[in-house]
Amino acid sequence: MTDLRSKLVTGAALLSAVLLIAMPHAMAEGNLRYIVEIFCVFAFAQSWNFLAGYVGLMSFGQQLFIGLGAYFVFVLSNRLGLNPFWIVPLAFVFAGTFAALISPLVFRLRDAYFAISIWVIAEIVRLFIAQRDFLGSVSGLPLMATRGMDRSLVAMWTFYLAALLAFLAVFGLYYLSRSRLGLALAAVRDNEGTAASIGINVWWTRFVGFVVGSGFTGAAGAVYYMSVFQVQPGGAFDPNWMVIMLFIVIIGGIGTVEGPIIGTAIYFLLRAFFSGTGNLYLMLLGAAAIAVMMVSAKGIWGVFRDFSGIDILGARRASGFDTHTKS
Amino acid sequence: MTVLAVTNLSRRFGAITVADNLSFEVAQGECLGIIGPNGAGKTSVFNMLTGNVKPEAGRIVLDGKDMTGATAHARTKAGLGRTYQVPQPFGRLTAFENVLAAAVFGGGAGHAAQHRARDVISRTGLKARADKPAESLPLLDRKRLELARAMALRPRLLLLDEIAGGLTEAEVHELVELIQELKPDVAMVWIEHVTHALSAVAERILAINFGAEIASGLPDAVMRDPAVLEIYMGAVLDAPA
Ligand SMILES: Nc1ncnc2c1ncn2[C@@H]1O[C@H](COP(=O)(O)OP(=O)(O)OP(=O)(O)O)[C@@H](O)[C@H]1O
Ligand SMILES: [Mg+2]
Repeated sequence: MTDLRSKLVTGAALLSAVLLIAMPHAMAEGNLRYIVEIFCVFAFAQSWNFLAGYVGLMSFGQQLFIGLGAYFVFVLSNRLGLNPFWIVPLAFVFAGTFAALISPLVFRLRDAYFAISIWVIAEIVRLFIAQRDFLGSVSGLPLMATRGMDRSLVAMWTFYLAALLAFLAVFGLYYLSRSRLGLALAAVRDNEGTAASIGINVWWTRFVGFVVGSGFTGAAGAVYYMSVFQVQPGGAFDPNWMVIMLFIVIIGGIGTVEGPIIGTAIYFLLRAFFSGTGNLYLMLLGAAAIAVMMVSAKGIWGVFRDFSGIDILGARRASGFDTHTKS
Repeated sequence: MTVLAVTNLSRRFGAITVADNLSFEVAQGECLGIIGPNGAGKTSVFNMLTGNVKPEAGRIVLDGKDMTGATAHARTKAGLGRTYQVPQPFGRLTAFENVLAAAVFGGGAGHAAQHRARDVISRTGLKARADKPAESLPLLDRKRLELARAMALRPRLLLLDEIAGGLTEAEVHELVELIQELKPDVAMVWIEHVTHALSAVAERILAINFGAEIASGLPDAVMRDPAVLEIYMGAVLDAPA
């Protein structure tokens, strides 16, 4: 049973990889760009889902890392004339390092205070950038390096980076959640006192989770803004990013890999449907999220999973006892 | 061989004294029972042993090493395992995963941990509900899970906080048998109101009130001690029926 499932997931991962690699060769550039956006938004949402649902850290300021990752790549690439595609992994490191540096401060705060503290830091960083000419101040920065490159090549490599993010956001999260670290994270999330009592270093475990999750947001932020060739502080550090992440995760199902996939699909459908309504659609998102929460805090996938017993990418480790034949 | 040595442990919470110059030792293969009325400070003493509450004075030595200032997880690595009076499971993890986590992080990884977790689940009677989320278990199973999780750590020092409360006579009997099985390998401190279960296992009993020792020694002697009868049993006799 478990063996079959792990083979199924491995098969799905391989199939997805092949499809993703083939995609840019079979698709128009415009569609590709749309998919890049979907993948990036999905990666944002999934990294917040990882923090809130797997690490147990509820941050309301993850736009901080979107902006940091984006600015890191733009500044480094423009200043040093480097190919931005190679810098994306460093955006992970940069955003992760920033998360590591603020951890000693923000980990002293609990719950709502923690959540809001990161939002405050995001605002501070946004204001800092908006006042620095060498960072483009309020009007932001264009991406210089890609101007001289072949258009379709840029589109392809952007797509591959976004595809890698989406792939990791599904299968990376799946394997991470089932690993030894995943078990420690789940224990800390559920009960930190008991986690310490079985020998887990609670602070470090949470720290690693925060750094990895925020680093991933940073890499996704870099790819997102590279795909539109420009970044502005108002957009990159926009709290609306947070609203979108929350919506996707809550509607789809927090603490599940599948939930945000469903949530992302719903988000883009709603956005296409209400595209002419301006800010109204953000309110509709909020209303829809609240409606789902009223029915169940588990979200669409959580309810479906409990109802059907189908759990494909969950982290649950089976005991191996045959619990069904027992009276 | 002495596993735990506590000397002159003291702590107050505001006006309440939960440990008043307490000293005791426990050796491997031995069980020290702790009794005392509600609010006497029994659980608080455990919390100091595990590193969750800081003592104001005193020393805690585990296996010859001073652990007075050590973190909770460091004490676990040094061989300490505990159960909580009010069960504290990892709610969203299954019973099996709760125990597995203890087996994995309490030392010994991979297959050995998996094996140990299964073994402990069987021995504590949790097999039928092994794959249920801990938060969905009834109280009795959660209490079993407390013991299972502590067992999976394979501790040198096992701290049990009222694990027999609420069990039927038959269940208490089973529990006592299980604890007898574990006993040779560990030093044990057991807080318990179910005194006949405690007397069956403990070599010595320490009775405390307001954090202070009021009697200690052989179970029978402590139970018959006038100070204990007056304060501890008296409270029971006076309790409304
Ligand atoms: N962290 C704390 N802060 C303040 N007071 C506390 C704290 N922990 C325990 N107390 C108080 O200390 C006293 C002793 O509590 P403790 O839990 O140690 O008692 P106990 O002997 O285990 O009682 P019981 O038999 O009811 O479990 C109680 O009055 C309790 O309210
Ligand atoms: Mg108690």
